[in-house]
Amino acid sequence: MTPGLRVALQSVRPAGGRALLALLGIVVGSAAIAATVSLGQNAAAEARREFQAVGVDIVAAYALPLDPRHPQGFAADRAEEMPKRIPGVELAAPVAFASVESTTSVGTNVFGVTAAFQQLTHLGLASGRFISSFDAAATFAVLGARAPAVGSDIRLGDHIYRVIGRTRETVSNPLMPGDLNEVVYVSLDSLKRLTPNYSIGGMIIRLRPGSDQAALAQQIHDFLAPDIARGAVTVSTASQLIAAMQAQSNLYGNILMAMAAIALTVGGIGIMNMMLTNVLERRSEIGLRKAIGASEVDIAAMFLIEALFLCMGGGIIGTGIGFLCSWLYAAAMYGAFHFSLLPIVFGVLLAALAGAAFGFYPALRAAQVHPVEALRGD
Amino acid sequence: MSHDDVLRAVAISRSYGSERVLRSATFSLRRHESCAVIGPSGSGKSTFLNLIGLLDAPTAGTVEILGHVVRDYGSQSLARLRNRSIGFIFQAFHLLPRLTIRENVALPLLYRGVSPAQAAAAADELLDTLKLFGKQKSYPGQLSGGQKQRAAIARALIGRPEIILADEPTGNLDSETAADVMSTILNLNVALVLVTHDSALAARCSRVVTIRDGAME
Repeated sequence: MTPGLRVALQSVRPAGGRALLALLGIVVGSAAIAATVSLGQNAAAEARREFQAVGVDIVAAYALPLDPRHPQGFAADRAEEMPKRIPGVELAAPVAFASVESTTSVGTNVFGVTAAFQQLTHLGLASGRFISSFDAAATFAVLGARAPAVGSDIRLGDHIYRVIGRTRETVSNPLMPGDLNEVVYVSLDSLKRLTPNYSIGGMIIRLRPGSDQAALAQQIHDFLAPDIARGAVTVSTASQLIAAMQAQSNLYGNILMAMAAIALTVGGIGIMNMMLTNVLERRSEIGLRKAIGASEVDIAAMFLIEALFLCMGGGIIGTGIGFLCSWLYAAAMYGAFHFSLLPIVFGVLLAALAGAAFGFYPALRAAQVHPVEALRGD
Repeated sequence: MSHDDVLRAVAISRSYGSERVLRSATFSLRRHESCAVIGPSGSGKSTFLNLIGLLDAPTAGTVEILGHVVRDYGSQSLARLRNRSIGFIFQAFHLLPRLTIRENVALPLLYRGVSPAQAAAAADELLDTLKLFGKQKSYPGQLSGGQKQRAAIARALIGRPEIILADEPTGNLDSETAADVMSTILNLNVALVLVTHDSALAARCSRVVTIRDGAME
């Protein structure tokens, strides 16, 4: 380090009230940057978490009848047939839906499933067992982790069901037809007695690892579409959903980044203005420093370092605020916060960059101050 | 140029646009010599001092400092030469108000690359010599005019320069303090160029030159 640079570092003094005002833009910009990066990372972490339980090789197919009063569903043998007809499919689980009055609620979501559903979604059990192929139309129910229930029996519609198990808490997944923690599972055949409009409205499918999801989704669609004569079939893949979530997150991120860029520019101009005023006010000091041995580079470095420190200070404050905001948001939205150093580094670094960029011109002006004129002016 | 000369200016001129402020001044200064530069206001005294102090560049002629012919020197080289060879004393003191007296005095050494601790120790020693005991941690605003100028003298001396250039160093002081400060300056035992209006002060130097209407007589 040159002596001039060392003196410049030693000359940095706490900024006054004028600097605080100029720093507002830098603080806002850094906060937006830190929040954007942190929120993006949290959204990505949340997407990873949502698919961690079921995996990313999951596809969900749903029947969309034209007239909801006359639901149409997939044929009962489709789930067994699909892995045989489409080589990329490993396992398929049919799901029928109903909303019925229960012991504790007037609108309990009931899923009619087979044993394959648990196998496919990796639903853990806190107690008892899941629906099995031997249950046929038995009035057995498995409760989701948060499904309300009293005692060992539950009334579903006009029937009393024996509670044979309760699932563990699982992370909700956007591919699933609802929050798996809040539903009651019964066997497919058993659901027929609970609703007059019984139909297999959904199919959860696991693909073989590494398969072409888009191509298989099309094959699955073509395979299931003939079942729904008056309506449509939607097929969503995990990678599609993750990409959509990422795209949405990127869109918000881009908007925030644009705001951050504007705030940093406005803040940078404020800093430049303040530094130019500083140069004017400190002309005599510049002249004196030049007289006693400071070169133009030393003087420029002194002002540039001041702008840099000032903006980094603003950057640190802003990054802290942005980080706090993203923590509060993530805690409220996802119930967890994914910590990373990247937003901190980004926030402070870009603020420092703004300091260097907008401090450059005032530093240049300071370096060009003529010592004779500066010393005469005092 | 005598081998004993520390400063030499040969036919230096300075013009601002079409106005010639200094015309072909030739001057030399020997080691330990004190020379007063006198003349009426606006005659070109300060311009001459700025040129031989390397704060300004002549439009014609050359300046030689301790054998270095200063021509086409860059900002870095000029700054280094000023730092090592020349000490400035100004009428307005030019002490930095945000720095303590110790920090003000130590500043030239810091630009030379001396460590802050060593520079502070040297400053303290010099401040004691110049009768500024206990003022190391004071700020310029807390000192009297005479004390400020003695601190400025300490700053000029701390780098042990061969040449001291003083521009009206007693101009802002009362007569008693001025006499005291002048005695201090004259006893520095370095080559001195003193710009002054005061002929009585000038008479205390070993040589007097006069500048009138930009010409050295």
